[in-house]
Amino acid sequence: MVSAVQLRRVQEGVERRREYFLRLSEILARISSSETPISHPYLREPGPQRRVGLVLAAGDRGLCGSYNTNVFRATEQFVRGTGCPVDVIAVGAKAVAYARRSGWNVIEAYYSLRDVQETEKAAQICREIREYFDAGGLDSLHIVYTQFVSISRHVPTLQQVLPIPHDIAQAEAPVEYIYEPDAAELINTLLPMAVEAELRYYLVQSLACEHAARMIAMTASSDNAEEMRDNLVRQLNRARQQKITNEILEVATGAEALGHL
Amino acid sequence: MNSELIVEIVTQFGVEFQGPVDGVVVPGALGYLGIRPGHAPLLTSLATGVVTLHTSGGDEYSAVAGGVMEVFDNRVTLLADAAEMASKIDIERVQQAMRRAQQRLEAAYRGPEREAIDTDRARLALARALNRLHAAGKAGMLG
Repeated sequence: MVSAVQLRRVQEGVERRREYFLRLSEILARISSSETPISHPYLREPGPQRRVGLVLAAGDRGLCGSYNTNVFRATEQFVRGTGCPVDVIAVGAKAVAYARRSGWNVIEAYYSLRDVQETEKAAQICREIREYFDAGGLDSLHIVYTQFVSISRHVPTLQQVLPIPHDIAQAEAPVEYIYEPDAAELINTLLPMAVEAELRYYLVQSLACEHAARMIAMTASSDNAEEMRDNLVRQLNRARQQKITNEILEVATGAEALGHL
Repeated sequence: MNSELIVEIVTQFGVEFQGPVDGVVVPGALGYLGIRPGHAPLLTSLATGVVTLHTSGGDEYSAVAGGVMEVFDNRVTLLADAAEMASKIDIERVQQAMRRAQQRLEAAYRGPEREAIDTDRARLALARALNRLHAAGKAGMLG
């Protein structure tokens, strides 16, 4: 029940961040389709991958069905498939524990996925993640999160965050903007904003999925417990009746033997 | 030419305003600028200031603080770091925020060496509070 209340709140957060994120990515798509050449590290061509960063977003706690396991499986697959060193930024207590246990190079550990609900903490986490890429040394930055499709549908998803994939940053018709103050400055403002909004959007989805998964798992276990209780009560009643029947039978037989009947 | 402009003010907390207007005045990084229908595609960063929306039902105001604005195809999208419609501004709360920021700044400058106070943040908070009051004032909420 607690999860149900929290879920509703987080779900609202997902909707709101989607609105912001979608509009920002539309603008971004139009900018990058324009004739004006833009060069920015976030938009560079993918080169050889010598070291990649991975944000692993999983839950803070267990008892939520296969939610964490699914994320870990997707992560494992990614790490095995890269063929180069992977620096892991783990978000969520379970993510941190799992990444450490797997012997991955954990460069940053955020123990609380719940924090992404709080504006300032979320902003800080996303900024720090982005700054790991800014610091250089990473050829790309990816995230494994759980996409919140609906309350009952959660999809573990791998997404490249940086450099911004070209298929996302492409609109149909080129737009020539007037930039104020100037293009370079605006793009320098806009790109970090977009990356952070994207990360926030993914992380809050992961959180919503954790709550939803826990709610479903807990409902299922309540149902199971109830079924088990019903079965046990039935067994108990049957045993009791059996015992009473036996006793009556014994008394009756005894009385009969004494010739009272 | 299409004579309607669709304005959206969106923050990471959701959509603050959405609707058709005859024109809009926004605080751009280089000063206030007015947008009318048929405006050329434009991208600008936003300063802290008051957005004036000329709607058919009269003028509406919104206090925004930072962000970017896109004008494209008669749609104006303001992605603000913070935005609040004047009608929703809680004057009591703004005044409290303003007082808090003032006290922090005063303590930072007059008190004994207090490095713990983030003056940039306090100054920003003060500017935002004043801006919200400004928006509320324009909307005639301050009497």
